[in-house]
Amino acid sequence: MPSYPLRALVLRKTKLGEADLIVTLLAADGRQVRAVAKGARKTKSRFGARVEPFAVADLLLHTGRSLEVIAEAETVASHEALRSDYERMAAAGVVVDLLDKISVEGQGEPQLFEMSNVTLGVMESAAIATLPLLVAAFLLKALAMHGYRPSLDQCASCADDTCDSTLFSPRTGGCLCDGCSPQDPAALRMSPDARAVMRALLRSRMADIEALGVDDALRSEVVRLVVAYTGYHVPARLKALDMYAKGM
Amino acid sequence: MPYYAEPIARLLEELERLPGIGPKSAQRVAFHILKGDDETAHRLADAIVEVKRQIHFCKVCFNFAADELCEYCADHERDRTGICVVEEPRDVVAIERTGEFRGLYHVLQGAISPIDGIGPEQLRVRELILRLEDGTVTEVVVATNPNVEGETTALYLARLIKPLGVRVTRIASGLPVGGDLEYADEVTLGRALEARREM
Ligand SMILES: [Zn+2]
Ligand SMILES: [Zn+2]
Repeated sequence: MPSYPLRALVLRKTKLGEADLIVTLLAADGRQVRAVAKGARKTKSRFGARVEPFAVADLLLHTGRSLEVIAEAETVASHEALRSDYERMAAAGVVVDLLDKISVEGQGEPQLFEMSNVTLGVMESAAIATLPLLVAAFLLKALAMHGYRPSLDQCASCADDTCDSTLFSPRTGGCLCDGCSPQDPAALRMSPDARAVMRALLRSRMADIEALGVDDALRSEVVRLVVAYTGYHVPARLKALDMYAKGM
Repeated sequence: MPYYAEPIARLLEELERLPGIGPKSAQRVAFHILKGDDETAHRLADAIVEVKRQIHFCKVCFNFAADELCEYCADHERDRTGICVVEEPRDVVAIERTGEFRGLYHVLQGAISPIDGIGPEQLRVRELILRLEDGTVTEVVVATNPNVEGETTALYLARLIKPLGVRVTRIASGLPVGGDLEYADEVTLGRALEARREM
């Protein structure tokens, strides 16, 4: 059986048979890979925490007939501190859920893996109040890498760069100038501050987002806009994000 | 499945719906039943029908029960100041085997899993909180699985229950992460219970 090494982030586990798991992975090159971890649900399994969601591991995979089989697993980053708070787990849950839905087999986006790994690392130690903003930043960055960068400086419809309206249209892909506003009656209100924060989220490194110092009301507005934008552009239902937005 | 007579195809179809049973295992079970005598087949069919007729969920703890209350809730010898919270009825069996716990149980019927859209409202969480209202219970031992879903559930319960003035403990982390509780041996699980820590 041919085998090869792979560094990957564990996104989710699905039970298979008596004691096995199917593990959905985001490979370091951004591809989605599904692999079987045999006996992983047994307490004496050699895999243990290495194939738990949020963990980054160096794997040795055997090429199987339909799915790959995990032969060995070595922890690179367990992101163990996410397990200290419910809020951290919930935020990290949104990250892996989005990755599960937007990553595809055989087609990679290398930046996605690095950005996700860094996001989970920052979520381990950030203040609880910053977590929703980190979730919003992750969603915006991931969608941007996926080709859905929201237009915040120009009108998303006519590219007018004097656009300073207070309308945000998930469908059109960003803010709408006054002239274009009839195009999307479902457009959402967006305060100038919220627009500035969204711009900053796209530009900032994950580790610097805490320092943006966004207050509660503004944070809620930004998260609401980003959730709407994500919901529109990701065709699959993001159950973890639905739950997260409801719990806020 | 055009290769089999209709009654066989029907049996195979039903068997394949069972967890962990694929087409090959279904065929093996079906042919085993066909080769056996009538009485064996009837016993199996009866057992399936009877278990569904007689067993339901305990109205207090949501464990399996033959009566209104399960055997633990009905047993007045059990310590009523402690509740051990587990994900599934099979985990009650695993904890009982250790002989380390003499209190009552609460079966959540699952664990919080955001990625699967399973939140607290889909579990028996509200019913657990109601059981804490009269002040009899002084400790809740959270014995959910030592994986991401089980940990998330434990953290959620601790946040909810601690403000009520009830002690919340978690079975010790000696249990290997990622494993299912039902596969832990009695000694390991017994030690984990004994060494439970305050959340
Ligand atoms: Zn315009
Ligand atoms: Zn009961």
